[in-house]
Amino acid sequence: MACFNGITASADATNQMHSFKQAMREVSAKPDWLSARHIERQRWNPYSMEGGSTCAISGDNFAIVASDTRMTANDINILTRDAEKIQVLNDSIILTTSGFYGDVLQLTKVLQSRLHKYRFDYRADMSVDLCAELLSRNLYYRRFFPYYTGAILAGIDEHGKGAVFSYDPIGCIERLGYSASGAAEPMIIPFLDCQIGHVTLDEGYEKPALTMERAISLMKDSFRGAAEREISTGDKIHLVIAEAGKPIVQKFLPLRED
Amino acid sequence: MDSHEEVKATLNPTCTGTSVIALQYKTGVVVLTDRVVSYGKMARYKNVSRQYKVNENVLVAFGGDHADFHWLQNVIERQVLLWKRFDQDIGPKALHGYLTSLLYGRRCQMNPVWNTLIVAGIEEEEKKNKETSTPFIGIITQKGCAYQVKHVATGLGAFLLNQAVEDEWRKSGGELTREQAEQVLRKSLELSLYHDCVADNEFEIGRVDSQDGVVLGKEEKVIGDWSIAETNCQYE
Repeated sequence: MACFNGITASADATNQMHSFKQAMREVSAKPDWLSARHIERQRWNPYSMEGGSTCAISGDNFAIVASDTRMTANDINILTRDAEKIQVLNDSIILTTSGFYGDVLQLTKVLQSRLHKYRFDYRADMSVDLCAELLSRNLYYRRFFPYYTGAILAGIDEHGKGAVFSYDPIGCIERLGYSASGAAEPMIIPFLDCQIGHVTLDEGYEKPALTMERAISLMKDSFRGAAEREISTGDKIHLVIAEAGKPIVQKFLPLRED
Repeated sequence: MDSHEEVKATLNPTCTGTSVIALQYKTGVVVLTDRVVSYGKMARYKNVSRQYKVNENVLVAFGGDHADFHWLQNVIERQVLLWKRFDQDIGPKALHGYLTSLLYGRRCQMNPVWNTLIVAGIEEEEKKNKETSTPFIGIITQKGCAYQVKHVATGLGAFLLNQAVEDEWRKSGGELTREQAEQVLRKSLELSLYHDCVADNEFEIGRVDSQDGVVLGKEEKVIGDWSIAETNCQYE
């Protein structure tokens, strides 16, 4: 009988100890003094936005890509006036990105090394369609800690046609005629919708063909317009022109510096 | 997340340094830091250098948490020794790239290195070619955002001094002499002294030169003109 009581007592003690430890864990995880303000203050945002805008237009045998070269902190403080936001990955692929610049650097590094490995394995440059799929998967791989970048991949595809692929930060991919991303996206897109997509033009009206000259001047216009109204866009336009069968051309054009 | 999170990661820096100002001149880079480490707003440690000489070609200066930078000095030293084993001296571009990956990696673990780093230096190959010697200034923020510039001010100086330094830079057409560049830095420290309450009037100017290599600066002082203080109504 005494023996039986002993077992019960020790079982009780174990249970008590267990619930005590449980309570201890709970209170140390969420002590009374830890107010919402404390929690908010301890939370650290791993992202920062460096502003700027990018844009790409594709045509029958060309693709042009542009970005501004301003990098800002908190939208008001200019860190540098000649940041690189366009990367020419190979003779037919151009990557342009906006958003968090740390992720932009990492994403570029990842893509460059994957392209390098592809060259090593297959002894040929990757085509833009393949690279587009690769980029989408790389972005989706970080689905739960996304690369905070609005990426646009442009270039000349296997048939010699211009291609523009637009992404959201988690790898949703779409092939479009033209695309923009970054701070001035809401200003550039409607302009291009009107001028290239002709969404406001009624049936039966003549729609001007998209030549390269027209695309380039539209590109300049959209950045000049954006620089007037959007504070984190400015300084210089970095313009990259890819035409089928020709080497890629890069240009820098001045923009507002205020 | 438990309540002791703050001791596992730098989410509230304790002892910090403020602005770093760096500027390119014809054959090198000058870097100015003040010599105080603050505990909150108290000037806790004086006569502390915030510049670290990596080797004869590279200088690293920091703003942000001092303890994290001490750790970084250790990491950098190991990297230098690793390169030494292959008979190489690490260059500024390589170190900048390495530190970028390091800081970005730590950010991805949600455990940032609370520093803004300035890597200043000259590549060994470019040292020999006097015509094209292009000095290097690279910045890395604690989140792994990295870029290269010709002139920079970080911390509160980014708000106060960036434009002042840039104007001086443009006035000279990007061809400052060393004396001019140091003069610009002294002037900008004076400006930051008036507005940044954790900036100090004791400072040092380190430089990386294509002839002399890294030369750490001596302690200097600036007093500034405080006569305006009398007209400030809130000033007792």
